[in-house]
Amino acid sequence: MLFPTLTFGIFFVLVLSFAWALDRENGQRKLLLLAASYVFYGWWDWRFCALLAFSSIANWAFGRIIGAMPASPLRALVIVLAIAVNLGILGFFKYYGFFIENVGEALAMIGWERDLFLMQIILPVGISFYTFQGISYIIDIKRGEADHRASLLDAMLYISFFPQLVAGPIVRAKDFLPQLTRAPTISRAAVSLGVLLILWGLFKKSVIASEIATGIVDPVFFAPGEYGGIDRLFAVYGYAVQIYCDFSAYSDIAIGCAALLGYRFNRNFDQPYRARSFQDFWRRWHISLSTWLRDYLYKPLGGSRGGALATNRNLMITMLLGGLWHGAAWTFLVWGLIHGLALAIERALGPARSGRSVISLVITFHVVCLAWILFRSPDFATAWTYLTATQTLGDPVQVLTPFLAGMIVLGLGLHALPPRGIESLAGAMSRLRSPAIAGMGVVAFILIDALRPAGVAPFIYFQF
Amino acid sequence: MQDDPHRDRLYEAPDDAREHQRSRLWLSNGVALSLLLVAVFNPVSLERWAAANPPNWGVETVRLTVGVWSERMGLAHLDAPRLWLEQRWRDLKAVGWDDVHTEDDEAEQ
Repeated sequence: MLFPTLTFGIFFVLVLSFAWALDRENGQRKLLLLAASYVFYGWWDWRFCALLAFSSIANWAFGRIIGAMPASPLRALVIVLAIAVNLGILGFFKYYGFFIENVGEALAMIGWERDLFLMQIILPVGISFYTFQGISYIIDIKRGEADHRASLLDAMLYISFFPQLVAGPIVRAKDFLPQLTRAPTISRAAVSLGVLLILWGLFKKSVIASEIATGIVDPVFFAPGEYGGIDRLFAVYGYAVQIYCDFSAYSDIAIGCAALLGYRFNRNFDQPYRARSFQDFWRRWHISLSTWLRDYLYKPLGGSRGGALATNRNLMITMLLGGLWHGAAWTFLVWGLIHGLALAIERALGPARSGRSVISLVITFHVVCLAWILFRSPDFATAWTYLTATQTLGDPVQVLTPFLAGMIVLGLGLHALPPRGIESLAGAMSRLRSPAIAGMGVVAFILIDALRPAGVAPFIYFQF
Repeated sequence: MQDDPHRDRLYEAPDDAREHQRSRLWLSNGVALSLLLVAVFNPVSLERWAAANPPNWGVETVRLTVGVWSERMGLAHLDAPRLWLEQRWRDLKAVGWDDVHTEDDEAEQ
């Protein structure tokens, strides 16, 4: 079930109505939301509901055991086992094929060719997200930041809550579980914020990202050698806009749906292409993942406590694994490497002076775009062709139209909007009467529905 | 929960149960009215959704019912804003670089 479809719209209106009808019965309300989450997930492939249930129940059971045990080597062993189970599930479904393929190639290179047991494994949607939430549950309990006595219902709802289930934001146990202890109440301001975020997300995904993807990014990245320099240059800028508008749209809609249901998720994007450094970029891009990696990987590795060499090592490990989290391919690993190197170089150079901030912004954006080429390309050969194709900027333009150039400029222009504009607008909207809100919402909806192309491509981050 | 003062204040839940009930009613009224307005001004979206789904008794019933409704709304010109918007958007997409140059050249002359 995709967010920008009428199927989801009908589903969400039904869930919203029943959820608020049960606002005096927190237990029944949570049961309803859990059932709705499994319907939502089962819409893709109902067989994976069992995997989701297993992951949730296993994490809840491990959490109970860990929380009840005093600090001891046995407790540490249980924590390692719990994390290993989570990573084992992720590793099997996401990395098994990649691992076997590369082992086979490595053995062939040294003359040890073997028939390895290769399986066609379907990647369950959202597995990277809910596995990380499971690990967050275990570690938050270990650190005493989340209550290990959470009921099975709460733990299952935390891991499978449908707005964030398949593409984040990655919600922390310590943030979400306390919200489940009593039936939520709602304010007009939260409703306004939810409605605005949903409409804003629909616009970014259905209009900007879809037009740019089908108009320029997909054809140019399919055969980069056949297009001239201008097309290739704008296809990279286009992809930078597309992935931002696509992924931030999913996060906005998820945060908006949760807000309408009375729950709060953290912001996941904060105008990332305004970043004046890579450190700044990672404070603005996929914030829930970058903070997850910081708190559960970088800091436990030692963070920046052990001198320059150890800090850079920790940084590189974090970024390489962060890259690999996106997909089982070497291109993602090198994407992580580029970001890790950029962060390490930035650390070595020290903080940028304010006078150079615009230059820093341009440099950061273009290095990010360079890394996006690897991220978007299916393999190194395509990325290499993209970067080295012989055509020059003087070659005729084939796919870039004034309309597409305008959409790319519009997508980048979103970063020039007031950073907290949505919040200000939500505050103002909450003072209006409901017919006025409904009228404005419907005008915006018809506008988006009329402008969007027919059919909706899945979100980019579904594949992760 | 990360500090986000601009959003935090929007999430402040009302302590008063009556205030919560009023907000809930405000939300319910808004949703009901939005559905009504979409049905009047944009029934084509429901029709397209039904047409895109595998046909069965329910989907076909929705498609045929909404089709008739959509046609009636069209006869009353209530779909005019949407049609106007779609046409302008198509015109914008069809603009090529030659058209842009021509407009620039004409402006210079």
